[in-house]
Amino acid sequence: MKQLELERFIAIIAAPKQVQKLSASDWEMLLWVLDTARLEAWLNAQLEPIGLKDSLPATVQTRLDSAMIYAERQQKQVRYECEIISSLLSEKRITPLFLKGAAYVISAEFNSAGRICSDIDALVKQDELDVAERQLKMNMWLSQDVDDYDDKYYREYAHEIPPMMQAERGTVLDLHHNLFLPVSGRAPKIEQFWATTTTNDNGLSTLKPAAALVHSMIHLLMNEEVTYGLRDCLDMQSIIDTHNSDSFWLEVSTLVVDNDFTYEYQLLLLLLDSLFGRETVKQQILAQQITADTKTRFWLWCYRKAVMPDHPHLCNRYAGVARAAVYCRGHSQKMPLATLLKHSTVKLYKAARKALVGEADKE
Amino acid sequence: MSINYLNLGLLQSNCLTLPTAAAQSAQLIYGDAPRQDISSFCVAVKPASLLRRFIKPIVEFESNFRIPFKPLPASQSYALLEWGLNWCLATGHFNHLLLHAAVLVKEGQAVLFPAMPGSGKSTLTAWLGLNGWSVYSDEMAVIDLHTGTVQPMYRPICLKNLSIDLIQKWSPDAILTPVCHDTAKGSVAHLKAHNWQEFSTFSPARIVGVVFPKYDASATEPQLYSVDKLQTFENFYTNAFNYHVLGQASFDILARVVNQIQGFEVHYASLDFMSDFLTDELLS
Amino acid sequence: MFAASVEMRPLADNSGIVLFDSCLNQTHLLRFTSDANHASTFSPPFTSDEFSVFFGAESGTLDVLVSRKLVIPFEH
Repeated sequence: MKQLELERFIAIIAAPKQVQKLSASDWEMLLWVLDTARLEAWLNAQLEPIGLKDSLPATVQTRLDSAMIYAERQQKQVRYECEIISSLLSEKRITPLFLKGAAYVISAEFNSAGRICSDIDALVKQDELDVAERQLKMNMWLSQDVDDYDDKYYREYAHEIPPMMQAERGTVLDLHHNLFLPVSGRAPKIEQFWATTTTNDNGLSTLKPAAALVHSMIHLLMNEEVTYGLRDCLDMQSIIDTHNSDSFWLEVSTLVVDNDFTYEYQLLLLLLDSLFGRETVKQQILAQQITADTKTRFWLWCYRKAVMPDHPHLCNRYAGVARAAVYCRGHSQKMPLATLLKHSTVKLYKAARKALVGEADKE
Repeated sequence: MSINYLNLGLLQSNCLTLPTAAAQSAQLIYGDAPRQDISSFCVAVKPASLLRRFIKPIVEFESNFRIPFKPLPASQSYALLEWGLNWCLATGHFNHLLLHAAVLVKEGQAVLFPAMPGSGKSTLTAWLGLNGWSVYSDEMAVIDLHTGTVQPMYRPICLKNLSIDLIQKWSPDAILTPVCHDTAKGSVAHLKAHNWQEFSTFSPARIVGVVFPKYDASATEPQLYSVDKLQTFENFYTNAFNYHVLGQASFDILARVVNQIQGFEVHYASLDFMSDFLTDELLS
Repeated sequence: MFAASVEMRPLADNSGIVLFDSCLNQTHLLRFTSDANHASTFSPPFTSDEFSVFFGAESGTLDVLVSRKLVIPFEH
């Protein structure tokens, strides 16, 4: 099967005007790979403002237009849903803070052109979580079907409740009280993030860009799955490029150091530099005199491969190994070993039981 | 034999792999179309698992290496491919408004036949296609969001059950794929309505009418009812594949089209009558 | 919020009007009727209060439609 070489793919993402040199079959592969990574509309958003789109093959323009129409429709829906959620929770005097994709779409602080956001992530205070959940349930937001163990996982170990789905519209909401699992021992001091709350012109609350960057970093480098990791990296690079200033970096450093994420922060900067090579990041690497020891070079190699879209048309050798390493690292970050062993045993047992006898009856 | 691409006119899909029988049917239907430079989709129909390749074989449809549906018996591979292509268009093509309707064109004017169960639409579509009308589409009307014209698509007509026998009787030379039995819709076969040479002459057509056909074998005389624009709009927008994604653009063009066309419900037993009715009442 | 986002298109055969709320991405159909007691709607049914709230009383949409006898609101 024909494939795009990884370095060529990364070069195109880093500098989209390189698409002018693509052949017809390269275009096919690029668009299908980007579709898997939810980045087709993103590419449209890079090419249109610089006047490159009109010179592209007609079929490519059609595909990019189609992706953009879908993305814009999604974004409209997200804005609406955030307003509804905010309005519902305000009846109980709770102000949700919207995170990641939803935040990028609803706040002018972030560049969200072409951004696809399928679920909505929101943060509430831990002591408000029960009231928030009840209020949403009374307004046709239903908890997704999870068994008792998974429910306990979410509530006891994790920093969120099971996902909720709006019964009529199918929108999925992930409601968190922290940005990482408390059971891990590495959950950040959430009050510090709350202190950066920004209320936008539309009345909706999001994190300040520095805090949003740190949250996205935690999400990428402390989780076991990085399915849309490339998109997350592009989000973070965009935040950096938009807000690059001494005060921004000071805010980032403060959050990172106070919450003991220095290693992840350095790894992130090295990763973004190796992918996109922007001056904004190089300057920070220089200023902080970041160097990569063997362990860091290993993880850099892993994440650089793991964040790439998993697609047969993208030649990404040893990606399976890289993803497996990231998977193990993510799990070990989330839970102390004893808890991880217990959790893994339960998950393995459930998976084996399902494979043998099908889905378990609801208890 | 393998067929690597499926040129639908409007766009093209790469075809990575098909079971042999389905590949032969695809070659029959699409084999005379030239290759476009760039494909918009890539699809495949392949065995669902190694085991099920041999024991009660089942196949699954892949679009961009993802599997959107449950598998079906291997005997339904070609039907699965066609349904899969419908899915690709409905979920991935937002450049046009896609309505669930057949489109028949004569003298540059298009009549839409919304998909209604028991309407005899497939038989009617096939018969009209064999009798001087151009079949722009059997199931999916492709509406331009700016002009409201309808674009042709190079797709076969999906015939079901009795209509397969009827078409074979009326037109023994008709190009038909082998029948897939026991599908969710019964027995299904696909009719190649036009060859590529004919299709190349089709250009966007102005919509002049919508007809809700109802086949009634007992009808001694055909019965005509006027369908008002509100009913027409309601039928179109509830049966559109991508109306909700397109939002205001689809609302605008649909209101414009509905305001410009006539709507009829026709209870008929005679296909000749239908052809005369369409020509006399709808074509200017 | 809602009133400003509603587009109306009267249908040429006077069978009704179609409305699109771009904020909620919803389509509504209103059938005209000569029956003074009710108007049927396809989706969803409205009382006059709901109509005012939904489309914004201050926009005057409902009043205009009622004064021109184009729509008779549906009373439960």
